[in-house]
Amino acid sequence: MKPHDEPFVQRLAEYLGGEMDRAEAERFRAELTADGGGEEPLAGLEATLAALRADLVPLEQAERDMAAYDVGAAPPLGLRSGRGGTILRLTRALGIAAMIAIGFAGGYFARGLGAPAAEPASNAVAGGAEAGELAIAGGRARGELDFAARVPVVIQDAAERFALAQQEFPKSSSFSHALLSLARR
Amino acid sequence: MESSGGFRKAGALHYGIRNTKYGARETKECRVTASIDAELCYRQHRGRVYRWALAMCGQRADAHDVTHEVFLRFLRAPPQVSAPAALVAWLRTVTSRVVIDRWRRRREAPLAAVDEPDQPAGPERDLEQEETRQRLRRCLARLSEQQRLVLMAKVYDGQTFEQIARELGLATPTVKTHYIRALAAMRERLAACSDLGVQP
Repeated sequence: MKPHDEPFVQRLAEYLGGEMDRAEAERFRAELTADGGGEEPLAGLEATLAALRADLVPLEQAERDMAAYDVGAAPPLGLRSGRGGTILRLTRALGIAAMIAIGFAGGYFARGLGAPAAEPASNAVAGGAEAGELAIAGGRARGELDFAARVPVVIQDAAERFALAQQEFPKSSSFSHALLSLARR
Repeated sequence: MESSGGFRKAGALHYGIRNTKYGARETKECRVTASIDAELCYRQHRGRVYRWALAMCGQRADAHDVTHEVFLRFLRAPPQVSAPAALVAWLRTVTSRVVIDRWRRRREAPLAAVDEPDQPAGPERDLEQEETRQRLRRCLARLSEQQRLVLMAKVYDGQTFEQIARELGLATPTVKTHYIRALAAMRERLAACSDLGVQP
């Protein structure tokens, strides 16, 4: 090996880079063998190259891998499939049902433990407003009912990140929102 | 893709590259354009970026993170390039920097081998290969940026020395020298790490 011989380095690069025609490559290899002591370093360089190439997955596999992780096609955060998404949807449904129930119960008790069925229309509206207020209060009390505890922390964080992404890029597409959210995961 | 079609009609898109005809005063418009171009660029080049990242990191999760970080940088500051090859070169440079940044943050090169769930092999052979790969990645991290980029372009993408020279704005003999020096440096470091698959 003649590491400081520039023409040799150029030829070696062409040889190892596969840019030498077959006849010339054979001639170059024969020169190195005849030189004595040149074959071993060459084998070392070839082994290094082989090790580098071995670490590389085929492009098709990489494409498949990334396509399976397509952020553009990902459903909106909070509506994802899987266990987390199911728990979130269930929690939301339970929360809404609880709010409605508390609202009705609150409205019923606020009107004096069972008012006659035929109330004037104006009272019905007032009762509805009260029920609405109580529903909001009921919503705030969801923590007591431990619904919030069922929402996975990951999803809460993702929602925050999504909001942050929207702040940072207010006019960007949903793709970039998703990308930013994923990048901050 | 609907968005890309729209931009093709407008003549503002070439392989996911935004024509930089917009002035600085139109930053918001640029952002919208960049995000759409980023989507096209992402779909066209995600596999390639992921492949580089996986080869350099060894972990699929890390490679996904690196890929998204690269395209996030595209969103934040789209490259001022006008040819597909230049975009690939930009992506390669950014990928390399993102991976190196991650390694520096962790204060060491990655320790894991590439995940290969579909290729069961003997445990001893696996271990040996894993060790070689770990050391190989450490060596890759210690190369100069130009050496690393030349090696990535040549080994990972199979580009010719002339193509690499054009991409990096270097003379072809310089690229060849970088290639041999990078390989020699890696061989020496690997050999210094005793009995690997690579002979000194």
